[in-house]
Amino acid sequence: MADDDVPTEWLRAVLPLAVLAVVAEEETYGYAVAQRLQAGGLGAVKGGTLYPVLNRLEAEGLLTSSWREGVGGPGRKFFAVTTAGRDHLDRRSAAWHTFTERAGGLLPDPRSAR
Amino acid sequence: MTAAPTPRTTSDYRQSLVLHLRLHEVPPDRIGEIVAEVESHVAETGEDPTEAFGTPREYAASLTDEHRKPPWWWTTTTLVLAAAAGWLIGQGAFALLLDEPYLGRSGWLWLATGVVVGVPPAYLVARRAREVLDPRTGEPLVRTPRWAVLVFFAIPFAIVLLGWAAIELAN
Repeated sequence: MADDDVPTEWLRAVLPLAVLAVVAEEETYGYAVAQRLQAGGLGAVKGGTLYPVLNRLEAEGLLTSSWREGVGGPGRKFFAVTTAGRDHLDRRSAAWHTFTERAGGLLPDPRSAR
Repeated sequence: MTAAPTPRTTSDYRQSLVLHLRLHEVPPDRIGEIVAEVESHVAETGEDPTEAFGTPREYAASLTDEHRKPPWWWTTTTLVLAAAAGWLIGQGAFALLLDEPYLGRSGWLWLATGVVVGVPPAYLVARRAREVLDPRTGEPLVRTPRWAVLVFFAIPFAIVLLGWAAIELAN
């Protein structure tokens, strides 16, 4: 999946929802979110892209954050989803699936074009 | 855009990022968060901060949600009030040093008016210049040298004293 030629606009569109989904799985910190996104096939997301998204989600009240001491290193900023964040995730995920299904219906399917 | 020099160490990166965030009028508590996020992230990944976040100038410029640039009339009003306060305090100080009223009013009156006019701009400058604290430790991220505060107050004081000395010598 990561090798697919995915335009950056697509990533930009889905990143806030994907980040929210990762934090909703469990309370976590920036680097772990980046690793989870990469493991999920979205490629390497740089810190300069990831933290503004996390901060925007927090400013919108969808996440909360707190600094905790790291293990033998500097502190880590942990993010947790709020109730509003979980509601938002449920609604937007449903809308996203509907949207991608509709868009997919309009696009030619290379697997059936043979 | 001209190529900004790449900061060599995390400490250089920190200094430069604080400066560029200040130039975009990002509130000090947010600056502390942003800088701590960068440092915590690169400590974890072992990446170079410029590689992970871009140059401090680019990263600060990209955080448009954090910018708090006041409207032009706000900056103009602050500057006009600060200039008026400086002029009034200067005239008051001269009148007191020369022991003669200015435009028929006591030097103390000019001085007091200047101080009152200067309170709003001084408050705004102080709010913007608040120290940036590291949210991980509560300590200041970048230390302001003590001499900076001294110089800030010493310059207007020296100007008034020099003016007074020049007038005394001319007499």
